Amino acid sequence: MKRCLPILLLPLLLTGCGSEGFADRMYTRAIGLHGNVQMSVQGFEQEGCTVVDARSIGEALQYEEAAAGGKVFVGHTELLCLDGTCNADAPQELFTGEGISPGCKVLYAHPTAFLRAHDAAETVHTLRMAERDGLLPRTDLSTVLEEWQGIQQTALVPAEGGRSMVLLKRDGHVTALSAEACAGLRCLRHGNSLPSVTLDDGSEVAVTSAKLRRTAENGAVCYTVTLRTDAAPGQRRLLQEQMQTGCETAVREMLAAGADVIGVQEVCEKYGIPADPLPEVQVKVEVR
Amino acid sequence: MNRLDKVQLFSLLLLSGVWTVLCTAELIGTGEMLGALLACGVQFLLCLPMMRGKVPCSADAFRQHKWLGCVYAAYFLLWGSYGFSQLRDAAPRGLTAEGAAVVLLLLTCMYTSTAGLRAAGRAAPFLVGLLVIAVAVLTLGAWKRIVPDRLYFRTDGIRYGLLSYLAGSGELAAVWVLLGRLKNGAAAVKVYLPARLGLFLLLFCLSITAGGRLTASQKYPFLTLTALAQPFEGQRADALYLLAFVMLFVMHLTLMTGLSGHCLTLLHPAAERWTPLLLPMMLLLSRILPVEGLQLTAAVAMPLLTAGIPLLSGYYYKRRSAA
Repeated sequence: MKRCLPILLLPLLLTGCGSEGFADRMYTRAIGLHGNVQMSVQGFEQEGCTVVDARSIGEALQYEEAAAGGKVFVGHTELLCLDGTCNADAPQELFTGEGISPGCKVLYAHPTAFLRAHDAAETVHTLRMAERDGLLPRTDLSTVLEEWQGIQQTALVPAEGGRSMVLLKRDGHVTALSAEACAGLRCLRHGNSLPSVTLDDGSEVAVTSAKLRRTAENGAVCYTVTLRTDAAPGQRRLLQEQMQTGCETAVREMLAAGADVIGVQEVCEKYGIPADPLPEVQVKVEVR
Repeated sequence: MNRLDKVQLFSLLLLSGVWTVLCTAELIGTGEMLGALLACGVQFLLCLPMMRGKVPCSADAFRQHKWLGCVYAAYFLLWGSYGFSQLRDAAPRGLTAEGAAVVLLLLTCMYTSTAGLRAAGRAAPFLVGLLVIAVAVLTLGAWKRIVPDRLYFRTDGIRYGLLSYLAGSGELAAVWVLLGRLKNGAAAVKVYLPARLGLFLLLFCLSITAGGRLTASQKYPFLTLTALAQPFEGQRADALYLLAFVMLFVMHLTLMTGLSGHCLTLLHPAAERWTPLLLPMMLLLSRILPVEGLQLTAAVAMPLLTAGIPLLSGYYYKRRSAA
């Protein structure tokens, strides 16, 4: 028992009670990156943001700590604002080096101006609700980093306002997508929810399930979207036409921008088709 | 040492084996899974003579031929050194950047090493439970990111998978030493081999389907997977993964140090007092020896020490008995 006593008492020294308290740390809610590298940080329960200029992410965080008067913890960051001018390695460094969450939302906006004028919490809430309601395809830091590592090095990112999307290249080039293309992309990417679709005649159709199948035939990549609904035959026809047009528009605008945000490269690798340049992409929407 | 039971033996081998699996440096292609399956078959064949009792007891062999004990002690020292190299390269930045964390880790390893394999054996089953929880949380976190399309068979990487899986199973050399006078130890090995393979295949599949290019492009893809696999929005699981990572490392080092010490003690009982020095020796070797050299030496030596030497010892004893 006497020999065990020091061992039993040791955990008391390891509780962390002596380290800085919750109030002494700054928990970032949103981070903005501009240039090389200007970092804007908005903390929880903070209005506006603090801005620092540094040569690297690590240095920027050190300056933020000096400005905040305590350690900065980025692990709970919910929003990352990019305007395409920052080094594309910076978000990767935040993810692998600083432990930012892979589910952190990414937004195309001027970081400092946006964070000064907006509450990041509201923006994140808007984006999440839009994704949940099937208005926008699901995107986050992990999808952006993964798409930047593809051959086309282009990621799908929501734009300021939370209702439109852009194709953001790793080198900073940006292409805006039309609303029709955004609607089509919801069906062409994995992991999206599509609970209902508002038809052109104003009526709303509930979608019970949406499945995506990706195959290749005769050197072309084929996407087959199967939607199940209990709607009337007339509405089904309208839904099929609308989604077919939306998906074709999405593919057309995506290929025109030289981008791949629907996993064409993955399908090419699976079927042994050259992925650069991107092959023909055919889309078929079935409503049952 | 010879009071380990089969559950403890299984746990010790699994924790040491999973440490090496977790530090897999890269993924080539899904063919690696078939390569690993073939490697598991080879591992089973290597361990078969010991499981069937066709080889003499290692303790007797070490007493008769002192050089055997030296060889095994040196091997476990090298494999432990390789573990330190893997820690330095693969550990999350938060672990190795903090000096106090590194010192604490070394002190913990020192304590567990001096406590002996019996104590480690008692703790091992509980740590396997922690490992199971960590894997369950990892699977839950990665589940929503899985894209089944990404998993398709390719022939790329079969040979790489076979060689790298075999080369990474250095703990197999411990089987002959640990089986010793242990009853029903063969059952533990029979369960350990598929368990290790199963865990590797699970991590591999999750990395491919949930991690995609993110894990494929990073060194130590399974560790990158832990950064991706966050099951809860408000609570990160990094602390659990870090705890599992540290525990695996500690048990791996404890096993290697304990085995090395045990082999030296069989050479001369007085060597037992020098066992605490083995850990600093491993740390020093990891600093001065090149990593590729350590890896290659261990990979080449593993089949010899797992099956070659035990079989030769058995043959030697048979001839002596016949004579």
